[in-house]
Amino acid sequence: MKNVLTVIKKELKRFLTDPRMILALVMPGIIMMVVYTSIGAIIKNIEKKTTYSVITVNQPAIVASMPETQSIETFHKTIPGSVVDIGDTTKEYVLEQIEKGDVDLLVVFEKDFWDKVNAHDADSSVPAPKIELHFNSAKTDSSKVYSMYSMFLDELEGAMIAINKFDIDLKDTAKPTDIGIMLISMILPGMLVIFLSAGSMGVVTESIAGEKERGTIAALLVTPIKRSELALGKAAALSIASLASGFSSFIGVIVALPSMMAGVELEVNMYSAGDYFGVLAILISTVMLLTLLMCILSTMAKSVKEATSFTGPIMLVVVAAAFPTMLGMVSSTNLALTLIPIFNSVQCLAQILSKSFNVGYFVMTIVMNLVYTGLGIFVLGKMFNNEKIMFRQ
Amino acid sequence: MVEGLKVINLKKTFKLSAKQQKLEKTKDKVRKAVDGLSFEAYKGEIYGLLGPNGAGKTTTLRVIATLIKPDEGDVIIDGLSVVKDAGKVRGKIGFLTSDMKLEAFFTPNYLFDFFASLYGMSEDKIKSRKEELFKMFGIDEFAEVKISDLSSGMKQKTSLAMSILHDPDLIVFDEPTNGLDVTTAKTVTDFLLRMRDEGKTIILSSHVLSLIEKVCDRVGIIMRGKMVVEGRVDELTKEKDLETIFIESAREVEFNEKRTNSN
Ligand SMILES: Nc1ncnc2c1ncn2[C@@H]1O[C@H](COP(=O)(O)OP(=O)(O)OP(=O)(O)O)[C@@H](O)[C@H]1O
Ligand SMILES: [Mg+2]
Repeated sequence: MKNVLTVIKKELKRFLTDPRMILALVMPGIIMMVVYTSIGAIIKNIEKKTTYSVITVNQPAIVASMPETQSIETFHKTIPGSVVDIGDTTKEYVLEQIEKGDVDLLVVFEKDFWDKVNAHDADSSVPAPKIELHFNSAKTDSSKVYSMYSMFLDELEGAMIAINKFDIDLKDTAKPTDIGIMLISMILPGMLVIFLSAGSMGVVTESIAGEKERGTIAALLVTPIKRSELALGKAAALSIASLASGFSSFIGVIVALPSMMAGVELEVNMYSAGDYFGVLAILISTVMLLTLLMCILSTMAKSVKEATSFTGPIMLVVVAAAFPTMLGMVSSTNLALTLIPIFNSVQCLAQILSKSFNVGYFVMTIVMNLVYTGLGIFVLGKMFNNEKIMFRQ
Repeated sequence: MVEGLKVINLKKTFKLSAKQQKLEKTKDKVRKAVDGLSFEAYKGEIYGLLGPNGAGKTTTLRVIATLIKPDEGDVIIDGLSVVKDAGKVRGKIGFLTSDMKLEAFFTPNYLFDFFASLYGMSEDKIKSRKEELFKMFGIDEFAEVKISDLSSGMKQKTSLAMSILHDPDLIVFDEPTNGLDVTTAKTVTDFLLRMRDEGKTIILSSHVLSLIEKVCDRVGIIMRGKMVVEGRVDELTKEKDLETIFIESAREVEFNEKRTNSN
């Protein structure tokens, strides 16, 4: 046991003294942060890029009877760009400008609009007061602001009929954080496990196949340390390093998350301490399993390059295992599914993050991960003992 | 109990991969790397293994160092079998090859502590042994410099110190001066002679005839995994030099092989 600790200490020290390793540890996080922040920024950019120029004629005055949220003024404020009323003047000049694209929309209200609306009797033959919308369907900006405006008018019209007859009192039953929880439970579990494997891959191939390639492992194999102790020490240290690397990616995502999910409300206290603990427990047991798998494949390789090509397919498996949760397919009913490594972890994470924690599934997943890890350590120890693997030509 | 090293009828074959078969233009599925090799190396002497590329030197030394297991035969070191007591044997051997490297990210000081603790040495013992060996090899000056920043001479000195930190009875060196400059090679030969004087058993392999002539007490020339010439260096070189002996035996082996093939 003392030997195992000695090996763990040495390996961890190694990660901290090797600039390449430190880079391998923090790089994924930095990349994730940059990538996701820029994705978020691009999305935002696309959304807010354009400003519109709207001109109104005879814009009606504020009416006290209208709820403020439905008033024309309030709506105008939500249109990016400028809304200018030009009173009761000729509109020919403006129409020309719309054609050229200098103005996007012209809205012409009838004079004394609200008075006419109030006076209007649907049964009489007098036509209802009109609003004219002039736009240019050949221009995207013009079409966009037109459809925004006409949608608003449709709503307003609906509200007008209802007014004074009954109160419109819309209430959204969804809490603002619910959508956040849903998105997070779809996105995060897969991402976390993918990051963990990517992090583990870099660290493990470099450490195990790297040692074989550089000929430093033989120096260890001639010492009296048991091969199983060596395997255990390496696996433990590499698990810690993989976790650190996965964690750095995770931080990257968390930092980028607000800009990625702009508009969705996220709060730390959406989840309980128990939820966070559950996530951590799953992540730690998963990283051990993944690391062992990477260790075994890297031990078979002669060089880092070969190890990278051996471990590459694991990424595909992980992505495939993570796929169902990304489509929102989460089920805790079939406990037999916990026998499938990695898939079980992603599912369990999604269950916790979507607030449908299932004790049985959780316990089974942890137990299975530990069983597979133990098996992995056993196999790795056997491999370290196998001269055909360690001294392959 | 036999003091020193006794190699008894050692046999080791390797399966050849398809790639290897193609590379070496052979249809054989297996390669007899060591084929019934026996010899002894005594305490307080340096035994040299000489032989052409692929003769089986490295394979023999790896079996002695318990890195690989023999198919047949055994090696007895101070009464312990490499097959049955591999764990104990490891504590008695100092093994060094030219392609065995120290991890570049650490300092000699750290690596010494690391390996010493794997050999189960107590902290006091580690400290005193480190003082002794670092002084002997002049490592103190660069004890805190990372291996990657050391010159090849400094690296070699560090490797030498590491290989004997547990004070082994048997020292096994595969091509100890391979790729070293004159000064560094001299460090190694000085070291070997010093270890012999301390009463260690030393076995080494080399292609450098002058090294063998200078430091070895006895030499064994192996070809195709078999011993073809063995004896005391001073006696063997009374009439012919090592080079002539080597080339003559190589011719003889080749001739015998052709004859068996044509039969
Ligand atoms: N792990 C292995 N797998 C397959 N073949 C091997 C292996 N190790 C050695 N051999 C083969 O066994 C034979 C003996 O190799 P060995 O390395 O012992 O020779 P050597 O005497 O050390 O040669 P050199 O002077 O080139 O170092 C060679 O033909 C080699 O190709
Ligand atoms: Mg060799």
